[in-house]
Amino acid sequence: MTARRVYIEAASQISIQEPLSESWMKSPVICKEPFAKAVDPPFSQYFAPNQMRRSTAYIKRALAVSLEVLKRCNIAHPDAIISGTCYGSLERTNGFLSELWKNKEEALSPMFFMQAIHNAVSTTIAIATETKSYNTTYSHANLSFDAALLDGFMQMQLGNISNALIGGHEETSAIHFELLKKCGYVGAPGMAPYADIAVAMMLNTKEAEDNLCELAAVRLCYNPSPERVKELIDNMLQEAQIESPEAVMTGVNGNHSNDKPYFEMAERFFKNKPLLTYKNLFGENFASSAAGVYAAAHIVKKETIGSMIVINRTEKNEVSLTLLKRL
Amino acid sequence: MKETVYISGAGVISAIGVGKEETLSALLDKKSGVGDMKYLTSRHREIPVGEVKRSNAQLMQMAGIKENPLISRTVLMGVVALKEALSEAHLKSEDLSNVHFISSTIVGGMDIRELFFEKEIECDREHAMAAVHNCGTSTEEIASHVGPFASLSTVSTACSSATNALISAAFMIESNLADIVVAGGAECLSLFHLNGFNSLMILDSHPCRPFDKERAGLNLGEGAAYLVLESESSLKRRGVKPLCRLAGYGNACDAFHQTASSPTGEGAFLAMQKALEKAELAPKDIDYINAHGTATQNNDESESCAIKRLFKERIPEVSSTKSYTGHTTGASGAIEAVISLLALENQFLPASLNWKTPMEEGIIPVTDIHPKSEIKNIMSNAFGFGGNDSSIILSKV
Repeated sequence: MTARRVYIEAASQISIQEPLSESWMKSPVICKEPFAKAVDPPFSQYFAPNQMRRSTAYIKRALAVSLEVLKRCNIAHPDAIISGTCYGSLERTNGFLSELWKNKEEALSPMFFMQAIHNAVSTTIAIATETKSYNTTYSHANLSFDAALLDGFMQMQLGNISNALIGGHEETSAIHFELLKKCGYVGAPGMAPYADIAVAMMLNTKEAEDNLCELAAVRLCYNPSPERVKELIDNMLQEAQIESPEAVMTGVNGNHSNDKPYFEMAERFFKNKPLLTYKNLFGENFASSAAGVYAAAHIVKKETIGSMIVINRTEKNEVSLTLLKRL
Repeated sequence: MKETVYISGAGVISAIGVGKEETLSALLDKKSGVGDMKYLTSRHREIPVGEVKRSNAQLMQMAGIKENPLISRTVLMGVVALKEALSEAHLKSEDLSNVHFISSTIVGGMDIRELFFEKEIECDREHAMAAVHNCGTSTEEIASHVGPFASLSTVSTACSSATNALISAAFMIESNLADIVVAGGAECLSLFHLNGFNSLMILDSHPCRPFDKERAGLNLGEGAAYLVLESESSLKRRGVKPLCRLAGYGNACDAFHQTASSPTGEGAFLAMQKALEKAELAPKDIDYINAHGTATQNNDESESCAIKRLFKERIPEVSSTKSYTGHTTGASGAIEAVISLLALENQFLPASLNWKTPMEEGIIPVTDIHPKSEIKNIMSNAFGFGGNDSSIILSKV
């Protein structure tokens, strides 16, 4: 099949950095806490007061960042709305469970249940923007965003759509901080904070000077052999007509057990290439790879880097590779 | 060239049986699996449910998994259905490194978290790992008991999750990123789900009555189903005959309300219309629709309206097999795709149960299993909260 070019037209974030801004590139917020909440923008410009009361911060962040990207791209109704979230609204899920136990299965609020369902963000964006096109949600551990990105990319290759709003959204919760700490995922000394994230980006097949970069290829794989990873990388580079990526964006977060496989991959496949990290700025959570692609896209645009590969992986050794190319 | 997508294997487990054969018998005998609650421990024992008639210990034995109290019923049912699907497609463990796996679920391993939720905060590492389960965990665990798949992914769009997993799999084949993708969904009953739907006051205290004037809500069910989607070139290479073709699919958003469908069923209409366009079929070509048909006031009214708008004076045979399985939520799209496949392979109509009185302006569901003419194309609908509406078309080869 003839490859169609796919671009990242715009991308924005709400996190522990200044919201809806790229000021982190010049003056990043340094957070030393093990657990941090996002810095929220004033939501009142995005929501009616009655919506403000009913929604969780998770939904508000996701909708605000999505509306911001739609505005930057001047698109009212995207051809697709595709989100990735591992847990959906954790506050609502944990809240519903707590109420269920406290009230012994009686008199439960349907609002908690409704807002806990993982497709709440994609469908809330659709309702808010009256967009009836393709709409879906991936919920696959910390590859949720990557799976969403792959969906949009594939559909553009197929000619089904010409633009897509892709998001990665995750809410933290105090209960999960404790549980995840026990599992060794977060809270290790010196590691990036466990923090909320909301990232939205617009993919577009339209060539434009203002686009951030080209999204040249996306691949997911499960427990691959080093040979398989090499094959996938070679295949992606060939498609993008790049000899080798100039820089590598990794999910290194300061936790040894998380970082070791990234360093091994970098040593094996990208020897002597500059390694970049984003979790030190945007924190760790199950949608953090969205911040990785967001940051990489802005860096490729604003710095003189010709191409960058973003590597993300799960505890179960699932690997995602995203290749970005300068316009 | 876009690859054509075929189906070369399927596996299913639900309240009406384990495997395609038992499922077929129940459908031909018009035997529902909805009944008293036996395996779920809830205070709402009066609510009828469509449970898989096997204990976790029995499921572990069937799945060939060593007994472990921290494995979710979602995973166990998923493994059983997935193994059947792979076996029918003549795929062995050594073939799986080129096979991708996309599963769907809404709450995955919530049943396990509920076992110790009260004591969660002081639990050990092993229990903490079970407590932080996510939808992807169930996919990863199912895969870990089956084989070394090429990639894994999980879709979660409420009650249309499994249909959207099938659509996502079709993209991978069409865009040449995969030759074979096994896709579907798994969902077990949990207190979270039962009480969630109960809080919305949409559970019937009797066996559900899809498209009946007196319908009073849905029955929750559980189960799993997977279909093996394969490209034509791969089928030829492997010398395997397809069971049917995934001729069309459509996904649209109703964009109306978080838990209610629009009265005109706009999202449903668009999803069905897109599926027809993709399949290059006219409405008259559809012989049977396996409706979403949950038996809630809102769904059956809205779906009836959407079907009538699209099919106009020539409405195909329609039924809801949720009267057999209950609403298996995150697995329903795949379970109903397998039921549609069985109808196509065995040339019968899965008749609606418990239907007596027509709704005003409603669909009259088919209650006789004998088709009047050959069944060539079947449409299967799945609609989810928030208006995630999807539709697929299976065609005879």
